[in-house]
Amino acid sequence: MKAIARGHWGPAGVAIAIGLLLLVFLVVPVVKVVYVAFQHPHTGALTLINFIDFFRTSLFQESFFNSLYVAIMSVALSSAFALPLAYFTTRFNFAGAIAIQTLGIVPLIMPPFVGAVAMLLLFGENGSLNLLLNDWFGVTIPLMRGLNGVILVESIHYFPFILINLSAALNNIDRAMEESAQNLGASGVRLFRRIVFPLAMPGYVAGASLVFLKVFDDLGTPLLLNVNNMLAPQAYLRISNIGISDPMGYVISVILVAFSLLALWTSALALRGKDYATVQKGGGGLAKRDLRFWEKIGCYAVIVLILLLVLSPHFGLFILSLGTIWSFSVLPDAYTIDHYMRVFSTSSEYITNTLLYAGLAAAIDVVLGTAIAYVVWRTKLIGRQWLDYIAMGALAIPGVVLGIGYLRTFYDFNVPIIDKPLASWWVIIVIALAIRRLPYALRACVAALQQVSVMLEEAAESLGASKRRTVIRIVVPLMSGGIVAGFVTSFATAAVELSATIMLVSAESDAPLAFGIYQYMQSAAGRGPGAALGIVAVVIVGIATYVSHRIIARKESERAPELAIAVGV
Amino acid sequence: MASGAGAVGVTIEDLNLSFGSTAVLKGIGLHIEPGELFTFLGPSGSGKSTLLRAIAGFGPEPDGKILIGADDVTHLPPWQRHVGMVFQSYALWPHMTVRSNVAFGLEERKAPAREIGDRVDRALDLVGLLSYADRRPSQLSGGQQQRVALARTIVVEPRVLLLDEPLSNLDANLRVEMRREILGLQRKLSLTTIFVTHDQEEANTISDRIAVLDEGVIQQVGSPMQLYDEPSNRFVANFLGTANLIDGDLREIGGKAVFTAADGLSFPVEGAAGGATRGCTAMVRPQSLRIAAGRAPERGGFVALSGNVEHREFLGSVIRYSVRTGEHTLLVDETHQAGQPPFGVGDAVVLGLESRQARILIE
Amino acid sequence: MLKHMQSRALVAGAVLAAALLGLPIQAGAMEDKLVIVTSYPPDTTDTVKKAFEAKHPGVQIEMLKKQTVAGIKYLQETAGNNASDMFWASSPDAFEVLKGSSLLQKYETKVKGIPEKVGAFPINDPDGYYKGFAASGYGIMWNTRYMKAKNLPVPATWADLAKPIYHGHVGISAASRSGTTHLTVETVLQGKGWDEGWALWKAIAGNFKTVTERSFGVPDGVNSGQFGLGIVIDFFGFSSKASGFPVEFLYPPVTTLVPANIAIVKNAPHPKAAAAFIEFLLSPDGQEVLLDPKIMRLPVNPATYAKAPKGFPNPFKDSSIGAAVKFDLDLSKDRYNVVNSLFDVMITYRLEDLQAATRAIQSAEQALSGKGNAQAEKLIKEAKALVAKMPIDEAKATDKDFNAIFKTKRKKASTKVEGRQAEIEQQWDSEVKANYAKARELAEKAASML
Repeated sequence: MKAIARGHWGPAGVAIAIGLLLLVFLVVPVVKVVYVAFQHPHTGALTLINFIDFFRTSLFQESFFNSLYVAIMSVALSSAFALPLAYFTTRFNFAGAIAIQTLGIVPLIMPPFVGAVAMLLLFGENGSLNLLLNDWFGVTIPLMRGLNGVILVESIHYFPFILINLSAALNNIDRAMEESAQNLGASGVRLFRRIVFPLAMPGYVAGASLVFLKVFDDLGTPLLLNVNNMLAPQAYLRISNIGISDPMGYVISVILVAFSLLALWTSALALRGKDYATVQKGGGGLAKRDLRFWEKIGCYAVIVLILLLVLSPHFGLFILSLGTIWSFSVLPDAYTIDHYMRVFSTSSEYITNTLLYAGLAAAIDVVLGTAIAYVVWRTKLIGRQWLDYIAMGALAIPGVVLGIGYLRTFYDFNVPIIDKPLASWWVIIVIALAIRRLPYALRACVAALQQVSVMLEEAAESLGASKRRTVIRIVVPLMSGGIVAGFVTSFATAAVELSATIMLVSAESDAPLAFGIYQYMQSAAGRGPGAALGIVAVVIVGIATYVSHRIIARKESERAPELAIAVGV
Repeated sequence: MASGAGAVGVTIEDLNLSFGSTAVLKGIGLHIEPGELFTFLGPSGSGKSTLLRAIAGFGPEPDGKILIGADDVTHLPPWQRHVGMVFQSYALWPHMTVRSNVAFGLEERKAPAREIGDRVDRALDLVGLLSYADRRPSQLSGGQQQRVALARTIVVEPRVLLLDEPLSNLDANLRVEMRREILGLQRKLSLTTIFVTHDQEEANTISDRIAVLDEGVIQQVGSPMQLYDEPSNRFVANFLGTANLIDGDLREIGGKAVFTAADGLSFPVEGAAGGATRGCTAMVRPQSLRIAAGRAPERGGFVALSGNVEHREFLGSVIRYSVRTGEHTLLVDETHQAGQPPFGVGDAVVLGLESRQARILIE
Repeated sequence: MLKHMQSRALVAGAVLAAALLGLPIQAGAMEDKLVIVTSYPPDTTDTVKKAFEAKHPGVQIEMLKKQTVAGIKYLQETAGNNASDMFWASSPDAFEVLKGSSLLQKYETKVKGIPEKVGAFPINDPDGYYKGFAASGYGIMWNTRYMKAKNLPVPATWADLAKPIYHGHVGISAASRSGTTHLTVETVLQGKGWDEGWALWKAIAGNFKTVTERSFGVPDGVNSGQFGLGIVIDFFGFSSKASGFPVEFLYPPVTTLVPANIAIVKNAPHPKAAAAFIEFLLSPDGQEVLLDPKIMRLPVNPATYAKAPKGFPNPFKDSSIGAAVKFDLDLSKDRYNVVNSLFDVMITYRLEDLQAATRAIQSAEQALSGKGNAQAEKLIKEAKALVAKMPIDEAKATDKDFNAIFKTKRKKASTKVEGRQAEIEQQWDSEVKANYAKARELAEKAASML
């Protein structure tokens, strides 16, 4: 209240507006869906009996442990992919480090269900790899069987979260931290284990908890691989069955949400007071050193191997998009560009829609993200942390739940002028994407804001700039690197989102790419065009990501001197 | 813990180092005596930190040789050099307690657990932080962090202690206190120590000898007083204190060397190398000039210059006048005594220079 | 992108202008738009759309692609403010659900010459709410390369799929997810009786490689060779083959031909265009479109078969297709959810246990063949009985009160409901799981005696 008295009405107004927005577009729709879980299936009275049923049912217990197992193993496997890539590119002078980092992020920009299709063709029981192995050695490897397949596909899809966060954390470590350990006799693996990794831990935990969450909630991959005994598929199968009154789907949704929130909270708790990167600054990141010839060969070999594996869905998809018939054979029977011709002649609307939706959603996200970050970290408003918590909570909401919630909440609301229900207006897709991807942008914005010294703001204020002007002229420009990073992450992941959009697309002319790919992939003649559309999506988002990477890299180098001054004060 | 008898020297031979195409160290040659506290002094960008880091084994590999004692360490990685470095930012690992920070180096050397415990305690005791052993670095003040960094380094009994601007992050009072402490510790342990700073006062108070660096070249090596009194060039003269630098020529008049400046100022120079030299500089410290009102008689070995006070600064122990004499503006320090009225701006004054206080710099 | 937005603005502007001028939407003229909610892939919708729009140039069709189940959900959720004109999908069950929720509009077609029944199934809804436009039968599809590589014979009947040689080679989609599978399951149950029917299904299911979540997962798996044989609706087989995949399809003797349907949604905003679409689809021109290689559905107009490619099955001539079973739609409807739930509990979610038990029984039987061992034989028989054992009998499965537990809407508030779905499924599950484990144990014991 004192803060308001000192003339902070502006931030308070912004905070209230954002709070309302989150309430209307996140809290209310979710509550509308999950309250069913607390209703007695017959009487409709409030009850916890459904939860008791859940915990009594062996299938659900099994599903719960399977989900947990898959999530944990996916974190482990993702770490195995991300660690070498992050470490090598941040520690050593490497030709193509930016390219490697970009390629390492590419797996994120493909809908996981598309990845699963390609992975089955390559690594399935009768996929290319196993057909070859069987021919040569008479053995096959069940890489894609059951939970293994889910773990592999999920790890390949989501490991970039660890890569991004870990790379950032490694780059933020004061060089002297490492040098002082070397000076005291530590080197190699011990140095990494005792000093570098613990210091990068906050970044790693942030990435790993994100992977855990996404895998725990992910629906598309297990469904496509026909693994039903996991929580998210169980929820989906039960919610979307015809005419069934089983509230278990909603109960599972509640449990998914609760468990995801728990995971978020635990990781936040584990990281409390450990934001090492901001404790001591001025080192300018780890010293990059040159590799000796053989070391370089070794590193490149590891990197190439990992990239080959994590990009294999893309290779598979690419071959599929050019192949005629690919059936029980190592490679397609013949090649053609017809699929691309068909896609370009009929599906350009998907592409423009995707750019429009993902672009708008990402723009909304960085505006909201910057505003929330500022309110939470720079004002003393009461309850401000709740904005952060609720926005981050969107991470814990499965897309299907949000989609159904939007239909329930906004179908009766007619948008004036266009006279259409809000739930069937294309803008609702943008809102859903924005809400789903807000956490990514928010974290990037918070990280960027924390790097901006308060003194720089105070300097502006003492020179007569108002709060608003200070934010616009000083804070936002200094945060621009982080804001661009947030925009890219939101954009790239929104561009391939399917789970919420599949519920909300109400006209084909409104459909985005992922939806189009999904449609194509539902017919025998459509796998080729679907794959071609998938490749188009990857190329578009990949180019956008690469360009933004370059922008960030340039911004960072421009900003370096300012930062040093800010820190040196 | 005392390494006294075992103290070793550091020898650097023709060391060259560059970052990409920029040469940062050029032809460095030095010998640091065992047990000596030696300082690299220079402005930022002079290469002093780079030289220190090269001794520790950080940064690009240099050409030339670095010897610690008799061992050539030029091509050894940092972790095999057994030199201890204290970083400007202290570089305490925030994820470890004070105790684990200090124990780290001993653990890396695979010392027995008991011994580690004892030695860590002793090291922390030495810096007066034993009771803080279980805190985290972020819970300590700057000075305390500095002490932990010191303890962490000396506990492994390095052959050489390297201190990279260790006091620059402390406030003024603490800085004085810490530098005394460092000196005390260094004397107690008789540890060959190299200290990097850009602060000449810090260098003067703490060092046995100083190497002044500029643009990657060692300008002069000597004791603090030597450097102050007998700088070998304008840079050293200026960097170690305020100096009046007067350009002129050295002539031989009647078998004696006489310095002559443009506006007719001239005085004989004692002990200067014989023979005429065009384009040299006379250096006179402000406190070597006397200031008085009116006109003073000329005496042997004493030059008088008339001028007017242009500017006056009160510095506490002295009053610094800036006096215009013909073409030159000279700085003069007069010891301040309470009750003695200072000269005012515009006052006509006479400056007296005892010629043996002037040093001729031939570059 | 700009164009996209401009056109939206234009449409919005036009609507606004019309509203302001108080222009009534002209009574006689056909609307210029038609919104169809459909589960069909672009191959089908694009082709039909093109043909229709050629006939009615003024009408622009908006195809809203939803999985059948999601489509129903969508219509239910949006009923209060309906913007869809038609629902177009395969499964008659889906239309029954929509009809039951009063979301469909009655319509009488003017097209003549379409018979009343295909196989034993009425083509149109007797109540007039939805129309059959094509017939589909269920059968077995296989990948010829796969069969050759693994040396598998071509099956002829459902029971063939239960043979040990097919272990781990068969795919199906879950009955609860796919109306087509549900009908296949129900057809066999009606053809063979409740207990024997389920016993056959479980024997086949023991050979399943996977149970897919989407109907298309099965042809997809067969096409790409993930598994060799799939239980699918005919047009998946025909269109896959027509697309060039090395696959074949056959109708087993016990199958049902059921119509794929179309209906007008209640309160459709463009009823005239919707009516025109039905008329077109049933007309000779529209029926002929179904023969497109990418669609390959059996037309409901017998005359159209004259134009069909060679070898294309004609159910109106070939009485062996789909005539063996007199399909009782009411019976199917009454126990719809219970059958799906049983399928999921016994097969989908317990596939691994079932596979293991089946494998054990098959190895024991193989070991037994040619040797006489009465005790082992008895154990194997017991094991098979345990696998086949049903948690509930047919009477219970068709019991109205029991079925009510699984339904969203009960007819009357007074309908008495005992127990909750989760509770009942848990009982079934623990029973089934124990049976499978015990069966496996017995079979292994039998094998150890041989």
